[in-house]
Amino acid sequence: MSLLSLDGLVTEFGSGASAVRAVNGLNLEIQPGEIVALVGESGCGKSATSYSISGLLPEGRGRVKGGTIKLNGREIQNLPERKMRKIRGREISMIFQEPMTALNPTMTIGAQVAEPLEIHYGLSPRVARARALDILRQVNLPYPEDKMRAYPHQLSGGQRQRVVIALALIAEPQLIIADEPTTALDVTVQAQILSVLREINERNGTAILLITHDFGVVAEIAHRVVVMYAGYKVEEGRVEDIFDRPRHPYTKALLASMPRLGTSLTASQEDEHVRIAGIPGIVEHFEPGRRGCIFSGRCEHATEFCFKDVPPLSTTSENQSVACHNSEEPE
Amino acid sequence: MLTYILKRIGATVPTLFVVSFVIFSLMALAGGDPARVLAGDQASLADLDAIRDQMGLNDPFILRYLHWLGGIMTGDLGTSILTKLPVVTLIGQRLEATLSLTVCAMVLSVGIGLPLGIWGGLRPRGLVNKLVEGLAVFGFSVPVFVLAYLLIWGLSLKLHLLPVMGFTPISEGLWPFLSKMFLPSLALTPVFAGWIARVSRDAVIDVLDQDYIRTARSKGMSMSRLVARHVMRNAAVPIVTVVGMTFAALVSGVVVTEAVFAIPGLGRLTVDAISQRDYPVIQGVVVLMSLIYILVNLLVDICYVVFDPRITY
Repeated sequence: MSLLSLDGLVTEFGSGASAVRAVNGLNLEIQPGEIVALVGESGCGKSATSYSISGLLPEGRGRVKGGTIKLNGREIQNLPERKMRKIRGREISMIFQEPMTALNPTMTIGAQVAEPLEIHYGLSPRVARARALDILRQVNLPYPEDKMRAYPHQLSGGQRQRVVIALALIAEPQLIIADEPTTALDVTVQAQILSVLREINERNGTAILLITHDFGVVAEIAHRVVVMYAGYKVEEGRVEDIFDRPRHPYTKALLASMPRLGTSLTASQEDEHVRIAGIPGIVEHFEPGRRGCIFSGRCEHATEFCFKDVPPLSTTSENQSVACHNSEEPE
Repeated sequence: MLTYILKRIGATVPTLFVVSFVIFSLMALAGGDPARVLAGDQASLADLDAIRDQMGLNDPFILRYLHWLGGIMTGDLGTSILTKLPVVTLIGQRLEATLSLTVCAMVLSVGIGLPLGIWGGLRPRGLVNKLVEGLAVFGFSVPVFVLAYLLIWGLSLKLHLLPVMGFTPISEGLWPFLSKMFLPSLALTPVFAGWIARVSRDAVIDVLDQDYIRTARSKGMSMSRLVARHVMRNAAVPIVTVVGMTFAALVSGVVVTEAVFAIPGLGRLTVDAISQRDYPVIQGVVVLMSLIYILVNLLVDICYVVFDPRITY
C-alpha cells in the first residue's frame, strides 16, 4: 500500500468568481521510504499541494475542493483539525524554505526541537530534551549541547535548517514534506543539508516529498520526479528517465534552464550551448471554461490541436507518463 | 541581565536632571506671583518685596534651581506656600487615593482589554474582533467625564447599587474601598481597555502571520499551547509597552475622574495648586509624575529583555 496517495486533488484559494485553482486534479503516490520530487516554477501549485496534505492551508482562504488524500489508506483530507493535529508532526512533518524565520525567536533550540515529543507522546521536557540532543547530533549540528540552550538568532542559516530538520524528524514520522529546504542556503550548505536528508531516508526509511524548482537538487537525492505546471501534473517518471528522456516540453525547458558550469545568463544568443535558456512567459492559471493544454501559450511546439484539447496523462514507457499531444513525435 | 538593569537605572539619572531643570524653568517662565497671592489685595509693594525676599524669590534663577534640586536630593520638595505644609506630606496624603484608582482601573483595563485583544487576534473575522473595534471607538470618542456622570446617574442614583462618590482607604475594609473605587475605575476602563485590546490584537495578528507559527502548527500542537508557548511571548513587546503607557497615563491623567467622583487624589491637589500658584506643590507633583514615567519606562525596557532574547543592550 502506498504511504501517501493523492487522487484527483483540487485545491483552491479565494472564493466565488475570484477563486484561483492552485492544484487541479493531481494524482500522486509515495511509497514508504521513497524520495519523490515535486518540481515546477513558482506558482505552479507545489506548496499548495504540501499544505493540502498537511492541512495547513491558510484558514478561510485556501481549501481542498475535491479529490482524496490518503495516508496509509486512510482518507485525511476532511479530518477535523483536532484529528489532523495528531497526524501533523507525528506521521507527517514539514521542513520549510526559510530557516531564518521558521524558528520561534523567543524559544531555545532545545525546547523547540523537543516539542513534538511533548505534544504527541506526553514526554516530560527533561526526557524530550535528552532525545532532542540525540537528534541534533544526528543532523550534525556542531556543538549540540551548547546549541540546545541557544536561541535561533545565535545560529547560522545552515545550522538553523539542521534544527528545522531535527524538529521534523524527532517524532519519527513516516513522511517528511520538505518545501524548498535548500533554496535559501548557499551552495556548500545546500549539499550538506541534502546529504542529511538522504541519510535520514536511508537510515530510518522515512519517505520524503521534496518540493523544489531546482533539478540540481532533484538529481542529488530524488528517486522519482513529478513535474507540475499550473496545478496540473504534466510528467512523471524515475529520476534517470526524466533526465535522460524528458517528454514534456515544460520538463525539457526546466532542464534547459538549469545552470551548469560553463553556462551563463549573459552569453549571446549565438552561443546557444553556453547560454541558460529561460522559459518565456509566466505561469497561466486554470480558468473555468478554458480549453486546451495549460502550457500551450508558452510552448514552442504547440499545434492548433494543443489549443483545443486538454492532453490526458498517458504512460509512454514502463515508468514514465506525460500529458502532451506531441510527446510521441521524434525530437 | 543584572548588569543591564544596573546600567539602565544609571541612565535614568541624567534624564532626571534634565526633567527637573525643564520643570523648574517652565514654572519660572509661567509667571504669576505667589507673593501676591499670599499677601492678598491690600499688600503694599514693600510688603510684597519682603515676602519675596523671605521666600527666596529674589535670588537668581540658577541659585533658586540649585536650592530646589538640593532639596529633592534629600527628599525635600519644599513647602507649600498656602498651607505651609511640606510638599512631600501633601503628596503623601493624596498618593494613596490616586494610586488606588490607578491600580483598580489598570486591573479592569488589562483584565478586559488583554483577553479581548488576544481572542480578537486569533479570530480576525469573528464577533469578538468587532467588539474590540467597538470598544476602542467608544473609549476614544466618549469623554471620561460623560461616561462618569452616566454611570453615577444609572448605577448610583437610579439603581442605588453603589455610592455616588468619595474615597475610603483600603485599610478601612475591602468592600467599602472597592464599592467606591468601582465606578471611577469603570469610567476609565473603556478608553484604556480599548487601547490595550487593539494593540494586543494587532500584535497577535502580526505574530500569527510569522513563519515560525506555521512551523509550530506543523508540530501538531493544540491552539492553547500555540498561544501560550509561541504567540504570547512574541507578542509581548508591544503589549507590555501599552500596559506601561496605560499605567503612566492613568497616574497622571485621573484629574477629571477625581474631580467628578470627589476623590482626594493628586489630580485635585494639582488643580488646586495651579489655581493658587502654589508652585512648590506643582513642581513636586510634576517631579513625581516624571519619576513615575521614568520608572515605568525602566520596567518596560527590562520586560523587553526578559521577553525577547534578541534584544540586548
